Amino acid sequence: MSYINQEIEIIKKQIVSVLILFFMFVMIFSTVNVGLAVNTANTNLAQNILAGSLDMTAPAQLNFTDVSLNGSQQYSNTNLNGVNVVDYRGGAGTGWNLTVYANNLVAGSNNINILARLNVAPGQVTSDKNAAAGSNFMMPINSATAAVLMNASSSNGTGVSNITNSLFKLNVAASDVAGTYTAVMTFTVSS
Amino acid sequence: MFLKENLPKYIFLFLIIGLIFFLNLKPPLDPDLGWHLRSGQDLIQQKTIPRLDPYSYTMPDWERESHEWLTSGVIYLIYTKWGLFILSIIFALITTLAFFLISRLTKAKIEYSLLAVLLGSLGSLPITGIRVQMITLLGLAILLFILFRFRQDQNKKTIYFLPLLFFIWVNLHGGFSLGLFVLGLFLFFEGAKITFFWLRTKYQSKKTIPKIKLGFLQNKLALVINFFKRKLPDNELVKESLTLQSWLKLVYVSFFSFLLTFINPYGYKVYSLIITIIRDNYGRARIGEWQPFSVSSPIGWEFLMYLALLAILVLIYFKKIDLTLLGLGTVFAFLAFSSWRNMPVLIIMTIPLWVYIVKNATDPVLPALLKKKFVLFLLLLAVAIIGYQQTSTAWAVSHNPDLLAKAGGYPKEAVEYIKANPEKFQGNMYNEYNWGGYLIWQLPEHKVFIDGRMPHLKIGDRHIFKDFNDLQELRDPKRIIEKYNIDWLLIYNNRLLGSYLPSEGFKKVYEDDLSAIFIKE
Repeated sequence: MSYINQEIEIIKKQIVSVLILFFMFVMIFSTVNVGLAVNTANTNLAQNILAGSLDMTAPAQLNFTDVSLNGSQQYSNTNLNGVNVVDYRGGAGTGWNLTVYANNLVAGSNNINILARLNVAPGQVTSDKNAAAGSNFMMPINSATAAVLMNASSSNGTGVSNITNSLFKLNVAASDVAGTYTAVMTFTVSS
Repeated sequence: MFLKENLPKYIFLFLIIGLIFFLNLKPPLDPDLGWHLRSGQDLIQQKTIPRLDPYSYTMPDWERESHEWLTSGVIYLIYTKWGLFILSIIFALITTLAFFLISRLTKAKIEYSLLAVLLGSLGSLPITGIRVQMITLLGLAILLFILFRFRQDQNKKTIYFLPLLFFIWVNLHGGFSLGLFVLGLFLFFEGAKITFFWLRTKYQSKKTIPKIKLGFLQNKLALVINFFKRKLPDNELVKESLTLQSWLKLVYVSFFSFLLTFINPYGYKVYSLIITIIRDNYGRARIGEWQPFSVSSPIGWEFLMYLALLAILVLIYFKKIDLTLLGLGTVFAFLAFSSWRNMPVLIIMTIPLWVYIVKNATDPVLPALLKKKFVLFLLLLAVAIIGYQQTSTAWAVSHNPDLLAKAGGYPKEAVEYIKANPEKFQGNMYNEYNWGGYLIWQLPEHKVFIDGRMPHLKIGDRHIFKDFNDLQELRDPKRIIEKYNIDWLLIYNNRLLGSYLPSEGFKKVYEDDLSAIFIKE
């Protein structure tokens, strides 16, 4: 082997050596703070799958009747209609859950805690295949505790299901501050 | 003078061994550790191995094949004598030893071996820890070490240790079946080499291919024969191989090893759980570590980087790599991409490849580079940071039950509430799958609904993991509640199930940041 070839061989080895060291140190220093990842090995997988042909619609706006403060506790009611779930995934159906949660009603710096004050009675369900209304609930305020408005068990819920006359009953306290309160309500259909 | 000249080398060795050990040192957070401790405790105190499952009320008729019965006993003894931190250290040593042993399959300077061990430890970070699977890693390393050393020197008697290895292994962990699979693969690839040599001898002197009528296969046969005649005669793929006599000897020893696997408390039934797991598509589809490889995992990219670098080097040095090592690596690469669980096994298989390739690609440049001051400084920095991180975490978690519960995500406060109010908790409990092991350990007065031993079990109409998920996901929940006569539930506090339970007459009696308890009214 000529001197030049030997030099080329050495340079090649130097390049590979540096590359290996580079990758090694990148991997070493990237392990900082990932040591606890070991406890995830047996995690049971969550199963909130939003299937392509499982869909829903809900009204864009829901208004409570106006309330005039009169020094005592009052209730403001409204009915939610026109929430539909469409399950066209075929087969016997794998079931689904229509859940809901909202953030607190807010008017400027004032707010009403809906978890304690907004009661929901899900109402009546019309379904192609055995969907059912959930039980009464106080409106949850985050997705983790979202409440069931309507659901279909395994082998049910295919086709169109809709829920009507869901009664939203808001407790207005005498001490509440006057104002126009708004909140965002989120519906999720999952299987 | 000698010491002064070799000082950088010794510093490098000291630092890299320390780094490897610290990387393998994990806090005792495995969800299965709890039931191992309880199972070990019962074994030591009662001196019997229960035939039926004593820890669940849903599967009391399960003829339990506890592959880890002996391991559980040893884990319990270590725990009671020295505590969880020493247990962490012992498992770190087992993992390190497994990687180191396998790295010595290839004859090379110690620097190359340790470099490969370091890469292997980094690549398998997501899976290593106080897990009985580490025993199978060590078993595989010993198995391959014996097989390859036997191939190097076919007069070696160490091959006769294989039956003993399998006899011990079958009583420590169910991964012995993986050992039998590897043994089979080794025989297959070595058999392929023997066949190759036979074909080469047969056709090397012939100028033309055989004059037989094979139709469209004629051209294919010509290609194969030309391959044997011209392409591979001096290739290192098959440079080292068993003789036919040694291969047959290994077949006999393997068969005897297989027979010895029946010497265990469960006899031939040790194979039944393995068959159940293979057949259980439902469980494998829903357990995290049975899932296919994913780069979206927090540390999946490290494994990918490990494999990418290895793949590049294998492609470059393809013709110099031993066929058996390459074959084992390829089979387990496929299995590792199919499920995370096989990832450390792939790493075990590929460590000798690393040693071989890196040695060929860099010798003598890399060993000299490793002794440079900047490399030693970076290693020192890594040892200091990772050593502190791993040791302090393992120490703190081992000595503080609150921290262990917090880091492991276990419902310690809820368990304390249950213990403080025993009159409230009568009858059958439904519990989270991930908490089963912890509850068997910390709440022995109540039998569990499910735990980490049970996801693949199906007895009659009781497919327990499916039933667990059906209730969790509100698929005909009333049916599951009635089927198992569930009286109270200990679940994550953000489960949708929690919103449903009041409609079935359950009342929430306890809630904290992690868990909630519901009791039937």
